[in-house]
Amino acid sequence: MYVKGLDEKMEGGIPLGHVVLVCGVAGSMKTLLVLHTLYENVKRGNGRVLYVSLEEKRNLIIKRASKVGMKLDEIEDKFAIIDLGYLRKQLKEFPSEKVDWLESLISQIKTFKEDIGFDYLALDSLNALYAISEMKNPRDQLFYFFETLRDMGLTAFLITEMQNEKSEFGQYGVEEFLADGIIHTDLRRINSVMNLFLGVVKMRETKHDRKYYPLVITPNFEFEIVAK
Amino acid sequence: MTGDIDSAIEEYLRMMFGDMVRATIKMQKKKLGLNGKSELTRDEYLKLAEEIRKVCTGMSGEEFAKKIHEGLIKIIEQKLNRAS
Repeated sequence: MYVKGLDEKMEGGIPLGHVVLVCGVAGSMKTLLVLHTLYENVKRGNGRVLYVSLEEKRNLIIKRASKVGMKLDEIEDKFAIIDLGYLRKQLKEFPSEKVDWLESLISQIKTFKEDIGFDYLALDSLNALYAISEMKNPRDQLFYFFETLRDMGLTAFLITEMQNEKSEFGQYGVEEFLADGIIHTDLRRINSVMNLFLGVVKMRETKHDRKYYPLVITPNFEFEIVAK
Repeated sequence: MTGDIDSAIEEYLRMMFGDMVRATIKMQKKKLGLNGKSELTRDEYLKLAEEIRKVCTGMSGEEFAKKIHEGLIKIIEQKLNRAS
């Protein structure tokens, strides 16, 4: 994940081909953490990325990332950001068109993989996908979605926003079983300061501890856990 | 022939628009006043490609949209040349 101190706690990092939930409450840096991980991989020539945003605008994602040293616009050919929110807005003119967004996303990912090719997928966010999809049988639909991603050999990061009062990592309670890994970013108030912690809750095929560590971004824009 | 080009365009744009591809193309045709036309001219297809390029720019930036547009032009030219 290119988070100093963390990868060695997971026997080197997230195994390729894993489908990983990146969960946390709003403002817990889930998006930045995923962007950072993917950016560092692309910079090192470790593959190509498809980043699908369902709500946040593409230019805002790029702007936000630039504040922590990521120059996403310079690696556009290897880091495609698709803003489906933009398309959703455009299609509002066609309210009669019934769209199954989950099915559509699967078909889009498959075609993108065949035509352009990519190794890493990020979906921001699962909650937004649920909000616009008809989830008649979530257990079955999500099983198919996760399995499709695995069958394509993708390393996938599915960003999930948790509600403050809830402890489940997914809205339907099945995501945590279906995922190969769960990274949890957690905000905790210590005295009058809100601190950010990161924990690896689950990571198949690796030995990892389940402690939560403070997560910081250094002035050189390195992501680091404080593990004393 | 139009149906043949339309199918090829649809298939090509699926990576950008998923199952919304048909609706997206329909929307661009509507903007250009081309909805309902049974046969499009080369010029109309090129205008359609340009409108699609604009949507792609909004979704994925200029660089990527340029690539999609180039691919689209290639499909249109190939199909039209084969038809003529």
